[in-house]
Amino acid sequence: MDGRRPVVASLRGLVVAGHPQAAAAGARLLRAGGNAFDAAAATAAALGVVLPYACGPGGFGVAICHLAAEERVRVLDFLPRRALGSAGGSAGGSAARVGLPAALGGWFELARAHGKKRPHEIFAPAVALARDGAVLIERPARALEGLGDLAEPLEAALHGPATARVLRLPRLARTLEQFAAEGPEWLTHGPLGRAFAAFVAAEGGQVTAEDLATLAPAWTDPVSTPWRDLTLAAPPPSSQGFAALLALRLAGKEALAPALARAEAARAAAPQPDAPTLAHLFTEESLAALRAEEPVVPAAPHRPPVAGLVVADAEGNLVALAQSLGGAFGARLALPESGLLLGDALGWGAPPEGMPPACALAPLLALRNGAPVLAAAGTGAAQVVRAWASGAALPEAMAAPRLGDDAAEVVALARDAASGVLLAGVDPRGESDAVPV
Amino acid sequence: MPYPSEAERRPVVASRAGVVAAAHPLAAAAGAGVLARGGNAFDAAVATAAALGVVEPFMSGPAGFGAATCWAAGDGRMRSLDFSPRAPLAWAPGAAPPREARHIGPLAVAAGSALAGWCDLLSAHGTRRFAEVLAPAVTLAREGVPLVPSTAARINQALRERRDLPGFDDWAAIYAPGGREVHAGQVLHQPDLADTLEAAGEAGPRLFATGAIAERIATHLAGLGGVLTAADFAAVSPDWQRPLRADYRDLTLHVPAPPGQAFQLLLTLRLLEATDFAALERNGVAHLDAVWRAARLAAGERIALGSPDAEAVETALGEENVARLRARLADPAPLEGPMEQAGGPAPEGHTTSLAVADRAGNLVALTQSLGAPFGSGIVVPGTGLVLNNALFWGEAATLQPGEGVGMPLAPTVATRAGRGGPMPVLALGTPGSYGICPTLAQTLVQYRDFGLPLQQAVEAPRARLYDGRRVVAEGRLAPETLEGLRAQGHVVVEGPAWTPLVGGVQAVARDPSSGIVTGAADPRREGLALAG
Repeated sequence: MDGRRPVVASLRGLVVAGHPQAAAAGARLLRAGGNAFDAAAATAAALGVVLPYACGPGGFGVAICHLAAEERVRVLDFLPRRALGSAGGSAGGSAARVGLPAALGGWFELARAHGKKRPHEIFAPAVALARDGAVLIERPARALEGLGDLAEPLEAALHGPATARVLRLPRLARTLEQFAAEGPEWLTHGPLGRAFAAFVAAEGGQVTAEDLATLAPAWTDPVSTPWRDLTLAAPPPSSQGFAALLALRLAGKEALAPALARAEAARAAAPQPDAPTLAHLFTEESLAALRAEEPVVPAAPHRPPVAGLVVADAEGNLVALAQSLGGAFGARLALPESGLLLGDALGWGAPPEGMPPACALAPLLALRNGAPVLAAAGTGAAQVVRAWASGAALPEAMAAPRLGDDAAEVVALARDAASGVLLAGVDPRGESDAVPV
Repeated sequence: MPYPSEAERRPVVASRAGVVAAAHPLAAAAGAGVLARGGNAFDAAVATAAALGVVEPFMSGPAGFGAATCWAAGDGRMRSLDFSPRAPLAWAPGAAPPREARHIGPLAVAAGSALAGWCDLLSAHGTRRFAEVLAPAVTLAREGVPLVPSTAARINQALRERRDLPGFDDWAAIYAPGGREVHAGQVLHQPDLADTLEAAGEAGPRLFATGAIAERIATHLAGLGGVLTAADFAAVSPDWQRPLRADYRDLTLHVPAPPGQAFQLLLTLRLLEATDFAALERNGVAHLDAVWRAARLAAGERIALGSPDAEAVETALGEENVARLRARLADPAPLEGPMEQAGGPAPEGHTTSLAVADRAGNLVALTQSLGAPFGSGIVVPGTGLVLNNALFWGEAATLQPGEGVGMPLAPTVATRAGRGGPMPVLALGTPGSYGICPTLAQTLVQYRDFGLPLQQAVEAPRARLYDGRRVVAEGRLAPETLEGLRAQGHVVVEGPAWTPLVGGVQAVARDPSSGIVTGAADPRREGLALAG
């Protein structure tokens, strides 16, 4: 109303995602009796079709989930991993930057572990979008101008008038369909993995059978911290989500900007802390020491495009997921015949020897008395959490000015624990949209 | 928060699988779900219309009325379905109560025809059973609808206005339990309405004419002193029409025929056809002056004609009359004239509109209403039904028993000429009382003449014209422009940046070459477009 986007509230389920057609894909699963895990997987796969420069099956991601049945939070980590034979740094051309294609398995596992629907049902909306064509809108359409010489190996075809172009990705449609039929082994122990290894070898890199065999998403426990009357949860390293929690803890009631700078400095000093180091970081003693430091505004980090989604169902399951290719169109390498763009594992910087690449993808959950009350994904999610926790209704918290990259989009949803009412947080900065069921 | 001067950014909602645009997200979702399951635009339109009656029960409902215009791709033709209200069979024109007595209460009520309209729309062109397309509405009524700030505000406004009126307790029992104000986040439960809609899925419009629910309605109305009987409900029969049509630039616009009053929109655009907008600054004085004057001239014709028959409408839209009015349009002398119906302003804040396009090329625009917020204010206990106040809108002195009540509803579908015949390209509609036709004309000029994308055309600042020379313009128009319009003789009141007084346009456009459909939803309401 009054020039604002509509307030979208629902009792039955809600999908908020970085593109309207991807959100619609998730809503389709919810309406068909799927739960939030089914819908999140379907939305993530559809995002890979409609935002192919930002994310895709060859990319990476991470999901933080509230499981209603078990009343607990779990993280599904399908973050960037490099082949064991990769050079320590970024030397060796784009093949050395390529990450193992983790997203496909992540989507599959999300639904397999906690969903209700069969793989072909999960992937069907994405397959349909890739085959029949996704309508390109505004920013995505502009980004697609960078497709260039990748169009040919993807068999990407643009149709329709200039005002409403349709992107078809028939090879990707076939790959998604076959993956749904064959399962992850098709990649980890089968022809898709062998094709990937051969392609990387031809490009000057090296992927072993062991790399592929161990390419599996991992369920882990979140990093969590008490904050105000909430418990905040984020994915553990290699995600850098702990820095968002640290910034909120450091800020208290004070301005957020210096706290973000101090948290960023702490993160840069130890980007992959182990569990004891992390635990120490959040002690009052450590927080006081950090607060005493002069905040140094960090150089704007390189930010690869990110696509996010949040989903909730009527049972109380919530999923917040962020995914990326590590750069626009990833490593700019297309795996022949598959329609798969390969991700750039070093998009967030090169890791120290022996460490997986650190990654800024950091979807967040907030819980009150054990019940999930807010989910957010995207750069700036912590600022939305803070504005909301300070009393703004979620739509206002989304529209409020944010520090840092103003173009970065956040997707969010709030859940009222007593009534079960779900409220969408759509970002007036971008192309994200909410679809209720 | 202050009004944003610009609309919040929305993504373009475009799809090859169809789009629904409606004034409430959960109603749009009901329709989008039907499209996603393979239903066509008619199935989705009925699902959305029924859901609107649940999620915005103050705007419309099964016992309301409405009209639809649609392109049926299967037989390649344009049709309108008139389900506007009729005067009661026992109506005595000479003894009709005064208009103010027909604002609320039993003498305001005409037999509800929305349910019959939905049913006929579906049986003529749908692919799904009535019960199936009503199912989302049943679920919303039974499981509850979360109130959002705007819907809570509408209920609270009605609560303040109705507290001392008869039937308040029945009303409050559903919408404001305990007579207390409601708030956003609260869940509105309508279990009786759920049962009624579920029964309607099986019985269709007979539900209001025979059986237990019909008995309840008739008994309740009789008890309140109404003249409406089950015979009136039995006589409800929506009318498939050949729509009125007129060309505007390369578009051919189609609207419902009489007793509807949508010819006013066609006449407005006929007058504007002679205006060269390409030479004018968008949202400048000359652009707005032309549109406002044309809208006022066309409204004057509607009011002068009263309840015209088809022939009178044809004459009004004919070359001779149009030439006469265009001469007046070109005359710079200030223009003064009525916009509303005789007898004072009509109520605001009711009525809702939706637009749907599907993969097969069907287009549906549907506008439905209760005639006032919560209609007559009468809720029939045990049914969840809100009865309309349609008779407030009739000209009591001339209205005959059973005669259609003229309404300004103007669901519109446009075609463009193609090699194989007309191609449907646009469906739109709006609420807004006697502002409906001016609102649609303003939107169409932004879209067609100034080439704005559909969503931006819907968002462009608009004005509501009132009797005399009075105009309430949205405050996003430049102050110097409003000053310039005052110099042209308009009595301009600067309104808020955004106001629902200028309607809530929901629209879909279709690109014939690619089959891509695009939705546009009005940010003056909780409008949302969703892909199927």
